[in-house]
Amino acid sequence: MPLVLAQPARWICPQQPAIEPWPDNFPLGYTVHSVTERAGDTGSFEELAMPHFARLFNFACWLTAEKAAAEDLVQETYMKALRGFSGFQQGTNFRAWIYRILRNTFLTSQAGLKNSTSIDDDEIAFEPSTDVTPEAILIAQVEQETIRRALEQLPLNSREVILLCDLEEMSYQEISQTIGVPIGTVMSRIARARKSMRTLLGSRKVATQ
Amino acid sequence: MTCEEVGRMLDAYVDENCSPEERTAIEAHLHSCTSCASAALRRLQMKRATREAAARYSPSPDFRRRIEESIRAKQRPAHWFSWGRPLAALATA
Repeated sequence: MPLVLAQPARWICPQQPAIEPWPDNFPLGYTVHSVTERAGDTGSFEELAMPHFARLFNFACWLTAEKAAAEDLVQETYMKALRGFSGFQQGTNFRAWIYRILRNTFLTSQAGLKNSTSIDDDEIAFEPSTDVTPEAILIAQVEQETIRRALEQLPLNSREVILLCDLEEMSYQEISQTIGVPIGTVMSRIARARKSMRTLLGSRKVATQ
Repeated sequence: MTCEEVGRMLDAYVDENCSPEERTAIEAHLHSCTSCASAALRRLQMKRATREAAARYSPSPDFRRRIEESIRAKQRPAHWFSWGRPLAALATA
């Protein structure tokens, strides 16, 4: 009997969802409209920006790997976004807009410059294992900590697309807008990131730490 | 669709980023191919596990309050108490 996949349910919200407090109100399967699906975002800055606060902070933590730096990054993002809000085109995708500001702010920071220039996919030291496979790890529902460690070891450009795709559930088009690359590049980065995750999860380095 | 074609589209399928026609074709293949169905299931498991693991960090209520206060302070018109109003009031008094 072939397997039949149960896709995660799509929750379609007419406006920005109330997503706090975190993480209780963070149901799995939650999906925000893609750029083409969703109605355009309209409202005051605070109405549009604050629903993204907890998620932006989480994303910032994954980028900076440090709570204080993440707070600085989020604060700077909100101030930049507020100053530039008059340039935001009402009715377009606010989420992609503010994530792009956060990402660009990080990349131009000292930490971001260091992160984006010193790490490359090829530099990950993989230690293939014959007795621990990614499938075995997942089927056994091995702890989230293992996956977190794998995520932390991904290079920045892989980590960010995985977070935007799997955690934020952005469409490829929305990710493309956020990180400023073509959709084809988004797809190839996601494929490469998942391959790296599988390899990391199958390596002794992550699985046995 | 062949296994190779499905393999190339599995990420887009799991991420719900393929067209309805592609989705139908992929699912037709998955119903008849255990190997590709297993691969798709593993990717879905990986996606869900990643989502659970990545939802990790929460901002403190204090930090949120600071951001909200900063926004309100910046949005407050800088000229709300300027000399214009008192002078106008004096002129009409």
